[in-house]
Amino acid sequence: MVFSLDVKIVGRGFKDSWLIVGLPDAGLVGAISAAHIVKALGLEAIAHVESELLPPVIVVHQSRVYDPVRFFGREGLMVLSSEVPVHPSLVYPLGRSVIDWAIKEGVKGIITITGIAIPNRLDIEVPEVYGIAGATELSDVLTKANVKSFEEGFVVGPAAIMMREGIRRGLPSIMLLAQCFLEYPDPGAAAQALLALNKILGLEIDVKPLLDEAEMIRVRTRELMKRTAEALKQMKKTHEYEVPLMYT
Amino acid sequence: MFRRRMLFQSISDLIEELREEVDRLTSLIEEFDEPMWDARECCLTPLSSIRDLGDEYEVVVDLPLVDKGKINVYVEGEDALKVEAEIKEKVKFERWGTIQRSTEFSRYRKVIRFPEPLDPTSLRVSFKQGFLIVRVRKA
Repeated sequence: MVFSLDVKIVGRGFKDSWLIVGLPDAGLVGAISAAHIVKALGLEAIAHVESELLPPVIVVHQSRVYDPVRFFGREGLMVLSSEVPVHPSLVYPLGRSVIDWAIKEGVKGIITITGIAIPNRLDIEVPEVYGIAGATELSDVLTKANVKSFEEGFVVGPAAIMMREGIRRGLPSIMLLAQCFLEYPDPGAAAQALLALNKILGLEIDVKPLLDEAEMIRVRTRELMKRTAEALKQMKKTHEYEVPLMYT
Repeated sequence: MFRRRMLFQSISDLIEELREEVDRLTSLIEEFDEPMWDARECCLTPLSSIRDLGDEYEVVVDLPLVDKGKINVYVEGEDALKVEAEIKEKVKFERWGTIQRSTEFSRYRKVIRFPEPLDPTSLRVSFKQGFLIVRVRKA
């Protein structure tokens, strides 16, 4: 069977908006964050991703059929969210297509939210959030928002490729990484990432409902976490525990 | 000498690839064979992970919506750990699926099998942030 590697984004974005990317990754930090932004701000679906590299899935909600990877938005803010894990074979073509689309739609910049797994997460009450800036002026943005800089290390997964493509294409790019569990949904880490996002963009997304519902979110996202953990294993996510050779 | 080293390296790479493929296929079989819920028993399957610490295993089980006193852990047979826990508020997914939507899930249940026998007298259990942590020695 031959699959096409094409990834098509169908729909229009909002010019001069920030694009927040929250895909399933370690602790589902990005996915939980993206879902919460969409719910908290009541964002409407504006575009979707079409690709034969996606699993053969449709999402049925209130008897209507939707694509599993969608963009939501309003003037000033858009969110990319996925209800299915990103398979390793989709990481590169999806990253390129999202950045192409973002540039074509004239977005202001891209902020990817992801988790950085730590083995002792159970001993940490409030996870730290770190930032990576794609350009010097964005480092200042992170500093002003009191987001610590992620100094050294590996980042593996869809967020990493999205960030790299953004930088290569000259799109202002920021990555937020919240300390999290690798293979358990982590709404607490997502809440901390959103508090950092609030400071960076001057938003007022209320994370209290997310923290209040944390246990139920953990119940509801078990299946997505299980499938995401399998995809992360194939991407060698545990690479993030290692020290890069060039800087030792 | 160099050729022999290259040959060992190739065999080692091949074994690693085979292991990964077996892991991948096993996980696919598990996904198809085991949904993470049982509507008849009103049970949900929790997420869990296992770490081999040499002479013992550490098992972590994610048990949200559970009180510490409502968990039952024991060694079943020689080589399995069974975890059962009561969910403090019944979970219902009103708009999800066909069978599940009418089910009220009230318990977690998970049986974790190990490649070797366990010492049932060695169980050490703790509960933190809604996670059950079990340490059990190899027999």
